[in-house]
Amino acid sequence: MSDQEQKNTFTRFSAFRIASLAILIAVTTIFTYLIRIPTAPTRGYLNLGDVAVFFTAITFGPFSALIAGGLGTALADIISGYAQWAPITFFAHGIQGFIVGLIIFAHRKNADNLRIGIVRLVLAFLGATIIMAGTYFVTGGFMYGFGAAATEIPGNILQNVAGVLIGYPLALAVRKAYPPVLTYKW
Amino acid sequence: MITSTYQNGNSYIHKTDPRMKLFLLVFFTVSFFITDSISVTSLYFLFIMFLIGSSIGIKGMAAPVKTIYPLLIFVALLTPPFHPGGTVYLRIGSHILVSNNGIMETLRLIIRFTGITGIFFLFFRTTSIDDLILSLRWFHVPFTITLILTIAIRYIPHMIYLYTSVTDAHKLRKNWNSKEEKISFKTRIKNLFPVLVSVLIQSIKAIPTLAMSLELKGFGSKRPRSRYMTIHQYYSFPLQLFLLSAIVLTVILSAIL
Repeated sequence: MSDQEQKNTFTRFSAFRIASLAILIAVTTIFTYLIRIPTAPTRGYLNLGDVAVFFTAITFGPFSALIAGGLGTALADIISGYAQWAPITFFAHGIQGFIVGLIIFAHRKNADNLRIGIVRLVLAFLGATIIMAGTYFVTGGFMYGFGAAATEIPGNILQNVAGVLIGYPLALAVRKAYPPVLTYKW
Repeated sequence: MITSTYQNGNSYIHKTDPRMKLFLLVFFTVSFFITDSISVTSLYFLFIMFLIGSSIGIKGMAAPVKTIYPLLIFVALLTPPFHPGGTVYLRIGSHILVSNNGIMETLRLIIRFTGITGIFFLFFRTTSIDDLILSLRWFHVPFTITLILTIAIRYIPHMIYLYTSVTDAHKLRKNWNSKEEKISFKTRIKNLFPVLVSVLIQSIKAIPTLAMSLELKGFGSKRPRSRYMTIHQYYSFPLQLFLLSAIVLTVILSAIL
């Protein structure tokens, strides 16, 4: 890397951004890989990867969610032995976080309006679900057929429901307990 | 945790240049999608299985299949009805459930998906994360991205420790999530929520400290960086390049012919 290129990179990414992204990636990986809640009806597990993506998008903004959501969940896939999913997961969860962040951070001057807040959250959920479940369905369809890929749609929707239902209150609770986090978004 | 993916070894795949392996990973993944011929995809699949068997061992060949077999069952059950054609083997009324076309398509999809899983398994089982990151740098992935990845990977064990400590601390406060009890889904979430809040706050509090240590290490300085880590070279680079070209050429020719 040339000196000029190095200088430009450092100007774009301050140490604080690097640190926040690295920590958020590690958090997303842990939420996806380690924290799993058993779901009684299907005897399956619900991972909290989407909760971390929603939390990052709501608290830190779309660009942090794009990188932390994408790389964090992809790393969790690699660690869990499902590395073949990592590139798709990176794209699906990265764009999912970016969309959620964009919708939540749009028109911040109306942030205190409860009705607008709810509409924004519903739109973020819909956008995230379409992007995430859609990406897995299309890529899964090309890899092993659309019949089998369709069986994953309900699970992916459930993940997004958990993401918004746990991620949003989590973001509010963290803001309340640790107000300096409000200054961390970029 | 990371070591459960990568296993140190002395095989020829372990010793192969990680840049070559990274290139072959992408190349074989794309190759599986380029050709529709079952015989050609089977050849790719057998080649990958040979690489796994000869480098990790015969037991290693079953490892990637173990992780995806439930999905393969779904593929076997759900693909044939969507691809009717040729000799019909099973039908209910006017609906064709199993036909020759359906079986061939199912085979093609199973071979493709198992092959892709196999090549990813082989790559991550034989390539350390450090080598992967150095290879990404060689392929001109921005320095900041690889730095973020390196720090994140180093922080994962710390985060696990943090999560375990916070969970234990919350368990001490009350009888929480004991395995013997049957706890409802709602209660599990309710119990987990304060743990997640604590873990997140502790993690976020680490950001300024980490940023400060990065600055103290000279991050952002205009002076050129020193680099100490290099990709290990066991075989000569031209020889590996020659073998890589031979593999690529064979795969391309088999797809064309």
